[in-house]
Parts: sequence; C-alpha cells; structure tokens
Amino acid sequence: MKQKSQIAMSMQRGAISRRDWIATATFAAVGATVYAPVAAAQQTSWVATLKSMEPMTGSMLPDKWAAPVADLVGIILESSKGLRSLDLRGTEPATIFRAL
Amino acid sequence: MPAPASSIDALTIAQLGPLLRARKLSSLEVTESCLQRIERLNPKLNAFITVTAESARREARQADREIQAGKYRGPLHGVPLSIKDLFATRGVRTTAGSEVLANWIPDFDATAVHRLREAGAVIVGKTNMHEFAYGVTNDNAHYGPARNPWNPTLIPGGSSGGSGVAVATVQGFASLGSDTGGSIRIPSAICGTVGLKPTYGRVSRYGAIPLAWSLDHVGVITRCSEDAAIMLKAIAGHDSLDASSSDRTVPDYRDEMRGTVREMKIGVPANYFFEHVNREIASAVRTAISLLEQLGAKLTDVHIANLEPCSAAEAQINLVEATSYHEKWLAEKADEYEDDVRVNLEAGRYLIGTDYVKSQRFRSTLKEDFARVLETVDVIVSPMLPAFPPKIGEEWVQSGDMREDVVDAFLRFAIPYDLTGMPSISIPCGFGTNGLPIGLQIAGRPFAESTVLRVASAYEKATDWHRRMPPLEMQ
Repeated sequence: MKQKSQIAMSMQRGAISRRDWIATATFAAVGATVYAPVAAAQQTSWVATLKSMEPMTGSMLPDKWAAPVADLVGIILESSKGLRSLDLRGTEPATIFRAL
Repeated sequence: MPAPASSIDALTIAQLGPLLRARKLSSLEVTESCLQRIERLNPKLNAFITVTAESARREARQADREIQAGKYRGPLHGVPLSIKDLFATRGVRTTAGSEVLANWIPDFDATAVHRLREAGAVIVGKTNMHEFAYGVTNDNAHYGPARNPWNPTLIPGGSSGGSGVAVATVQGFASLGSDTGGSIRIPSAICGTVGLKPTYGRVSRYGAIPLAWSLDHVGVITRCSEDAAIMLKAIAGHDSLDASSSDRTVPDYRDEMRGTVREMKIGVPANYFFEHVNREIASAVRTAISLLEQLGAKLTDVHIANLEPCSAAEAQINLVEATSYHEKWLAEKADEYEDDVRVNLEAGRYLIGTDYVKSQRFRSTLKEDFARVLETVDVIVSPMLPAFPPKIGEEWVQSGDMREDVVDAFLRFAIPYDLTGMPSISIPCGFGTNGLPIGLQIAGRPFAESTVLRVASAYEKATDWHRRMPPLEMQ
C-alpha cells in the first residue's frame, strides 16, 4: 500500500458531497456521534452492493479497498442526484464520435 | 516578504529572447543559471523528478551555435524550460509521477514537446506531479511531495505542482502542463505564476498520458501572460495524431493581446464563483476587478445557469474515463498505485453508463449556458481558488464559511471551464496576510485565448504581483 505523507486511506472527494449525503439522509440535525453509526451502516450497505457487482464488473474488489471505494461511490452517486434529475430533452453528448 | 527578483532570474521569456538573439546573453549561460537553481532548490522543493542537465547543456550549446550562425528560430530559441512528467520525452524517463511507469523511456516526443524542441527550447527536466495527474495536492509518495515555494510546509497545488514550483523559482522560464480539472491553474494560483489552459483541441494531447480524454487540456505555466502567449503560439495547432485537435489557424497571440481593456465587457458572476470563498481572496479578486474597471473595462453582473451539477458531472466523466484507460495496469500492477489514485480507479468501475452519458449531455447544455453569457460579455472573471493551500498531508481547507475537502475546494471554480473547454487563465492578483499568492481567473469564448490574454496583460501592466518571487531562502 502506497502511503502519502500523512494521509490515511480515505475518500478523496468529500466535504460538500459528504455533508450533502448525510444531510439528505435526514440526519442533519443530529449530533456527530449519531452520524457515525448511521454512516457506517450506509457504508456497509454500499460495500455489499459493490461486492455483489463482481459478475458485472468482471473484477473482484479487494477487501482492504472496499470501504473507501464504497464511500467514494456512495458520495458520487448521491451528489449525482441533481444531475440525474435534469431534463435535458434531446440534448446530445458534448463529445460525439466523428467518422473520418 | 516576497523577494525582489534580480539579474537573469528577473527576466521574462519576452525579455530574454531579444538578449539571446543579440547574443548579449548565451543560452548556455542562462541554462547554467537554471541548472544551478535546480541543484540548490530541488532538495528543498522537489519540483523535478528527472533533471536533464547534460542534454540541456548540449541543447543550449546547439542553440548558441544556431543563433551565432543567424539561424534564429524565434522567442523560445535557447530558452530553458521544463516539462511535466506526464509528457512523453524521447530518450528521457517519463513516469507520470507513478511507480507504474517508473522505468518507461519513450522513443518519441509528445507533440507539444516536439513543437517546443522545434522552437529551439532547452529542456532542463521533467517536473513532479500528482500521480497520473489524478489529484490536486502533488503529494507524491513515489517521488516525494513537491513543496510550496512560499512556504515549504504547504502543498504547491497540482497536478502540475512541480511545474508551478519550477516556474515560480526560475528553475526554467516556463513549463508545459496539463489541466483536466484545474491542474495548470490550481498550482499557478498557489505558486504565484500564470497558468493558461487553452481551448479544448487547441493544443494536441498526443503523447500526454491521458487522465480523462474528453477533459484533458495541454497548456502552459509561465511568469507573465506575454510568455504564455509565446509558449501557446509554439505548441498550438492541428495535429493529425490527436482526433480532437482543431484545424483552426493559430493566431499571433502576442500581437492580438496588445491593447487596452477599454470598452471591453467583463462579466462578474453573481452566483457560484464567489460563494464560500476566503475573505482575503474574495477581497483581492474584487479589488482586481475594480482595477480593470478603472482601466476602462465595463463590468456586468452575469448569472450562469446550472453550475451546481458541474462537480458531479466532472467526477462521473473523470472517474469512468480514467478507469477505462488504466484498466490493464489495474489488472496487472494495481499495488503500484498510490492509495488515493487506486481508490479513484477502483471506484470508476462502479459508476453506470447512463450517468456518464448524462454528464456528457450536461456539458452540452453548460456550453450553451456559457455561450449565452458570452454573447453579452467578453470574459468572465472570478477567484481561481476559494481557499489557501493546506499543509502537505492535510485534506481539508477553510473556504470562507465552509470547511471542505481540498479536492472539492480546488476543483470548484476550475472545472466549469474543463467541462466547457473554454480558455481560462490564472494570474497573480495579490497576497494574503499569510504571505501566500492569490489567483484571478479569466475565462473567455472558445478559441478566444487572445482576449483572455489581453485582459491578463492589461492587469499585469498596472500591477506588479506577477513579478514577486518567493522568499530569498527559497532561491
């Protein structure tokens, strides 16, 4: 495992997204001591979900990476709710294949 | 206190070129000056992964011979500069800041490197970077962290952190960098240099190790906007080896950027770009905007719609494209990646196709939203970063009223222009009471680099922030 200066293995994207994730999960008014077990439960759920996807991805998620990867995936999917809800009608992707 | 620059170190490329051409200075003399600084500073700041001292001396002697023979190639002829270690360099180890490529010696030059060589530039080395350009701290476990030249306990920003440090401390007069989510402009704002991310397609990506193909931009870090124009002119233009490369004519940026900002319309965002920003940074940027108004520009408040999904869209695209590129290495040598990059790459497997395509479709609407705003103004200005850099190893910064993850914070104002492909530059616009530089971001219409450079140049002519150099003990 390649350790940086002092950084423990942890999610790299977080603050806004992590806060939003917790807030949207309706725990915003609850103290931090209450967040932890709830967040841990969510993480456990995501780890199980990702593990179950091995037949789809074709690769096994090693145990030691499961928690931080699950954290990150959970955060990105939560923060993508706004994106998903956008009504883009017939808008095509910005990058389009061009036949030469 | 920032130290005054002196002698060769104080020169810009624009000033150095005529001196080299007139043989009042030799390329070897200037190159030796840079190599001496590298020898002295690299143990402290770690800006370089590989120093190419011997080949640099050979190239400098060659440049001197050519200039003496009347074969002057242009303003980069004989000028020492550095290359981010993301770019393939023929015969020189190219690591991308990773153990995965620790022993890769390419047999070709990236197109941008090739063009710099053709322009007669002298390459003094390959600069430190966040592994595979996948991060903003440049905290590199394989090659050691690059350090902030204004305070070595702090990060220099990334991913082109070594390039920012090298240019700020004149270990080379410019550097070639890449920008997928701000990787040129972030270290430029932090190191007190000028960072130009040109329009997507303006500079070939061929030979740059990809992070995310549809977001990757190649650009430059320099000490003033005129030098950025000189560098861009040398590296821009169509390349059949890059399918996204534009065949638009490359203008003479240096010529087009001349002139004032009188009557130019400058858009000041009323939303997003001034939210959750350190008070001193916001104040310095507002002061800079007022100065542009005093110089004759017309300020207009603008509202840019739909910026909130930028972060999610960038994450979706970046993670999926990066994981796709790294798939083979991830299968064969996953343990050689650093922790944060490994987590990002593993996570990319679990994002779904419809979200990726939605993100790419969102980019289309975002481009239209910006295009509408840019029908009414010539450029949009904002802070480059919402917070000052953290200590090496720390993950959090204070962005005004909000404590946030350093990645989220530093990407926030940069990524709209990676998603839209618009040209964007960061220039120094002041210092905090902590002695750290502050960056002003100026963005413009696609392929309107000259306009962006003109605003930057007008600001530089009225200020001296870009001339400040890091403290003497760092020189």
